[in-house]
Amino acid sequence: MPLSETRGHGATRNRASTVDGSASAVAEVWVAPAPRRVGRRSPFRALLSGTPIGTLLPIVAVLTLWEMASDLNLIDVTFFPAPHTIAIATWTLALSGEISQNLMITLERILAGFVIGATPAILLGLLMGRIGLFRAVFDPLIAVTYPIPHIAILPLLLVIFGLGSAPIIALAAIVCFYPAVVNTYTGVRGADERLVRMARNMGANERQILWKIVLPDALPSVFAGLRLSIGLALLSTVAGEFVASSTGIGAQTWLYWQVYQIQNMYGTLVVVVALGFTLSVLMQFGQRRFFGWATATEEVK
Amino acid sequence: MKFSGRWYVALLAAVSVFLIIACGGSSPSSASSPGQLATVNTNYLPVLPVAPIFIAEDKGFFKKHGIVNNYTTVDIYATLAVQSQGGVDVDIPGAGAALFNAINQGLHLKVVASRQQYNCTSDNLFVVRTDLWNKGIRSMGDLKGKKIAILSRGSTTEYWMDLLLEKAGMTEKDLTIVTLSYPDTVTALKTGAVDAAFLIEPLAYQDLLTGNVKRIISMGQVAPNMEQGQITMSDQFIQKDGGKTAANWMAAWLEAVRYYQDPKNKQDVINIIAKWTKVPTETVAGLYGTDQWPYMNPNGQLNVKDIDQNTGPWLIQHKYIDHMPASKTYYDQSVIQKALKEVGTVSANRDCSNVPPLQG
Repeated sequence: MPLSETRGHGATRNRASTVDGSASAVAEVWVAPAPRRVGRRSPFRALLSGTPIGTLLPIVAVLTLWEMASDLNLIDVTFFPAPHTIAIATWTLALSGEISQNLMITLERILAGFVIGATPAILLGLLMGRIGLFRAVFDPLIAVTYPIPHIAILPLLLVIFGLGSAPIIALAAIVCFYPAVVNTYTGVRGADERLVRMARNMGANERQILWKIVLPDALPSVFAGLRLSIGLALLSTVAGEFVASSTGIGAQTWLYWQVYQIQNMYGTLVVVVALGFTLSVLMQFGQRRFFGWATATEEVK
Repeated sequence: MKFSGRWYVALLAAVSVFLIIACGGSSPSSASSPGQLATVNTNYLPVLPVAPIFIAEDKGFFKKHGIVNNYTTVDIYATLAVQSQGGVDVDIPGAGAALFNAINQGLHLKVVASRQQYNCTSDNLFVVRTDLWNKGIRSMGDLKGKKIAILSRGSTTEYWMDLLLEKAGMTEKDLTIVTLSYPDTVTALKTGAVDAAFLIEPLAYQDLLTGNVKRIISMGQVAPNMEQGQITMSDQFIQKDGGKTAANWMAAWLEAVRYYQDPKNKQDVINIIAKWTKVPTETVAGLYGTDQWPYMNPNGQLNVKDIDQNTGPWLIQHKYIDHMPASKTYYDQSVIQKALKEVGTVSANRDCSNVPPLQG
């Protein structure tokens, strides 16, 4: 009897046989292929979900509607200026050099906050996931402090760190910390216990289990936390600059709002959006490039 | 069909949301008719220079003139947008970039009266840390190389800083300038993060009392007769009811200003202000009658000359506005004129020699 045979729709039946080839003790395992769509997908849906152009289509559609609405005076152009005027304002600001200077300051703060916040978060998440004592001590602390709106402690950070970038970086680090630690902990706890037991049975030590099974299994969850963290680092940095800085894109946005230069305000918001999008894309690229196998494994599971 | 518990919860949530939306939001102001009170949507901040609103409310001047206020206390510049659309009738901004950019962009609102002028007094001090004062740093000229806090770029604190720098023969490059809110400025002065700053009352007075800072100069001395704060009304509100409700509101304000300025009412005024602002009575009493006790023009007349000759050119020079609108574009005198017919005109002359400087 063949060890494998194909079923309809590509499913393959594998048989485990004894050493002498007899099939008396058989464990049948059907390995199904990835699910396949039934019926044909429309070209439009294929374009929308499958290509970079398709990703931009909804954005272009919204901008077009916005432009039409402002041309037809259907919306108040004072507070919702036409997209083309925002583009001109953004370009003018870019040429003046104001944006690049402030953008670099904000980017430095975001990255510093992200690294300072996410690094201990991942470490702590690992420890909490593997060691009961860490879980018992830190889980309640995280649960209690997580819901605090962290921007509210900015005045306290000003007292501790003084002025300049330090309190804003501290704020970004605090905000980054939580999603990273929670997702890391969840990923580690969610590691396949059967694989861990199997590895132990085969003689693997704890270090090998951690590096070969637990960490790889937790990576998708860790990365999800990091992607959330970088987005929150951006938000909190910009918000902190509104209140407690005279430099950075956030400070520039706030200034334009306070003097009612609405188009310039939108111009700086465009920069914030572009920055957020770029950071997200870079995170995705990094994940696929260096840990693409982890994502594939997750999809198979 | 059997209704599950989840269905009822969803229905209850939907009804709650509907009720909140239906019952929430500000109601449009209503026109007055004889014997009926008109509701006016008024935005303010619970600060000392807005004292006439508190007095008009507590002493019944608004009620006397047929006004019931629906109060909000949100950002006075963000409110300009809402005011333009008729969501707020009365607001209390300053004559700064936001107001003139709003006017230049066609927002439907007008300045109708002066709210505060630096006539013998102001409500802001330039202060320095006491340890630096003791080392001989007692003027802007002595602060070369030091760190100064202003409220924000484009604000009157930046304007005052520029006036002081010009007088001292300095430029902004001679200082490190940071922007901080007033409460954070108090903290920064205490921790030594900044060396000098502008502080509004009563924070300035309270900080003087702690001994943490010393007074360098008051803004009434830096920018005498400055038109510091205004009352704006939406175009819609000004025109409604033939202007009657707007004039009634203004009449109540003017009566309250005169009550505020009458020394006979000193204790009553102090108590009312303390109640509304939550500032301790002793602090308000300490400010009373000094050069940090805010002044309002008892006839509401705007100092257009100061705006056109001082504030406006500075805003243009610093590119906060493209151009100054003509005064008739932003200033509607009809409201004040109607109100003065009701309450009469009084003398607005002041003898500054009778006004003592505030000390800590």
